[in-house]
Amino acid sequence: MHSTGLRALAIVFAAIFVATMWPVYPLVRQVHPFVFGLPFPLVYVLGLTLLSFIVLLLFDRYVHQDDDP
Amino acid sequence: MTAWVTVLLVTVVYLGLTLAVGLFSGRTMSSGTEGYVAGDRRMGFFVLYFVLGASIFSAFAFLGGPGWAYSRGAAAFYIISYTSLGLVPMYFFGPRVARLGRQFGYVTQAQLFMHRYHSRHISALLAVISLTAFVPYLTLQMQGAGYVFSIVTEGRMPMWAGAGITYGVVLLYVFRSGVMGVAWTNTFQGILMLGLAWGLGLYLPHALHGGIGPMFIRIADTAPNMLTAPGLNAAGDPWTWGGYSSAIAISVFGFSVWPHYFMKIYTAESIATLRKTIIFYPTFAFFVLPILFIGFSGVLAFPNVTPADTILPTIVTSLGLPAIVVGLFCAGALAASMSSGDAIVHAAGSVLIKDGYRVLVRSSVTDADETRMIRWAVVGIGGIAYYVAISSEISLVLLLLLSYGFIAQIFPALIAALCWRRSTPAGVIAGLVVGCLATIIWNLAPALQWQQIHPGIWGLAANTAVLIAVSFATRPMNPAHVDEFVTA
Repeated sequence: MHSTGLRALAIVFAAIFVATMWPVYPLVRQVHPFVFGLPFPLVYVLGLTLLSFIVLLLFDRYVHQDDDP
Repeated sequence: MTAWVTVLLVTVVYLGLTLAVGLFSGRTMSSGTEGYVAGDRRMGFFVLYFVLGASIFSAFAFLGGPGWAYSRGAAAFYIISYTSLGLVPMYFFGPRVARLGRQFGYVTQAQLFMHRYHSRHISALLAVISLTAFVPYLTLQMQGAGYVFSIVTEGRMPMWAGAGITYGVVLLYVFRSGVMGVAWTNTFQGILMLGLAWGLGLYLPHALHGGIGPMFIRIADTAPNMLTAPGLNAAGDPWTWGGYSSAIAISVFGFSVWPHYFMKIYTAESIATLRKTIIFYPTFAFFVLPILFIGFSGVLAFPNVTPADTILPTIVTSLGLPAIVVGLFCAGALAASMSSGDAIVHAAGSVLIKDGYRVLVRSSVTDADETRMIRWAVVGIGGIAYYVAISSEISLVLLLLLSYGFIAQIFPALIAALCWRRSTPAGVIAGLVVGCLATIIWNLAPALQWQQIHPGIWGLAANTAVLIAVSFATRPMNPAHVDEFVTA
């Protein structure tokens, strides 16, 4: 379960990694719409950052099992 | 009292406080190399978070980050992307490296490779790669510090004196307190920089444009290319997706294997602490955000500032801010330089002695002698970097371009060491050498450039191919020995 979980996490992060660059990021390259006063390419990057944090947090809390102190 | 004297006083008080924190923090560490290099493996979450995070706020981020946003617009968003993803690989390999470190007593990166592959040559090669990458980075931090002092004193103090004073302080506390001095000063500096970054990042757009939203709307109306991904290149033309994407890729692959980051794995008090630090690390990307706001605030308000890296000091000194605020800005810029420089010089000294001298010259050295040698190596490397920093005849541009490309070449070797049983010493050495050579060649030969892809990416491709081919062509290692690493 442990290594399977880590493998799934690696796949999720590979997807996030690709989402930060070509060929995914060009899909949201335009300035508009503005969200909270910020241009969309910046909002998108910040959204991925938040997603990275939440994914790691939830994985560690609910999936990862490690016997080390 | 004239304004520049007030600014200088604030800066000197900051340096005094940093020195006090640095000297005081080493009082409880043990006297051997495990204490000096790995902090006796008892660093907690709070300090580890800042010791890793504050290194992001190097002179590049604090002065270069606003410069990128100011001159290259959306291209600067890549800094946020690599900050959020840069340490994620460590979530996968960090706990295993930490376990091996505790089991076998490693304090440097190369010790793991040397043991895994029974090869002194790998250790020496990694020492050369690390030091080649470290010195230009350290030099850049020193130049940044000298530049700050030059601003503080309105040109009265030359760059060499400012860099000398600042790094005199750094060398004193690193010499005395080792990694604990680095850790606690980085915590102090990190908090100072975060406060300043958010303070200036919110204040400047408000003062110059009426807020962050109005600022971006004005830029979008006037120069929409600035905010359209992937932004602009250094010449001001639209950047290629190859350049933008490969900048993120090479940063993510290289980030977690920089030796001064990697070595912090050994300092964690527990594996749970290490994992928690890595989980919270992406939050540092949100602290980079105001740095970019600062740069964007100057796009329309201060056009044609060159070089772009001077946009932050240009804005701060042009707005008629109180001298104490300007002084705090200068302290923050020094903190950015010092919080990276101290970690680098400490790691460089440790690598030179542990992975170079001990392996190649003299293996039988007492722990006390070794610690003493590392301390003096820190001073020696600091001196060399200082000489390079104040010598205008040596160009750093190529070395800096090569640094990240070189360091990223360690990534395939690490994955192979921990995950691929069939990898061999010859495969790893050949991969590292070919990867670094390919990085150099792609840097030096513009004809080979394609889509502005970072030369280190070609190096990684060549490295990985050669590592696999040579490993298959050479004799496999003892399976029982390899299992200790692959199943750790």
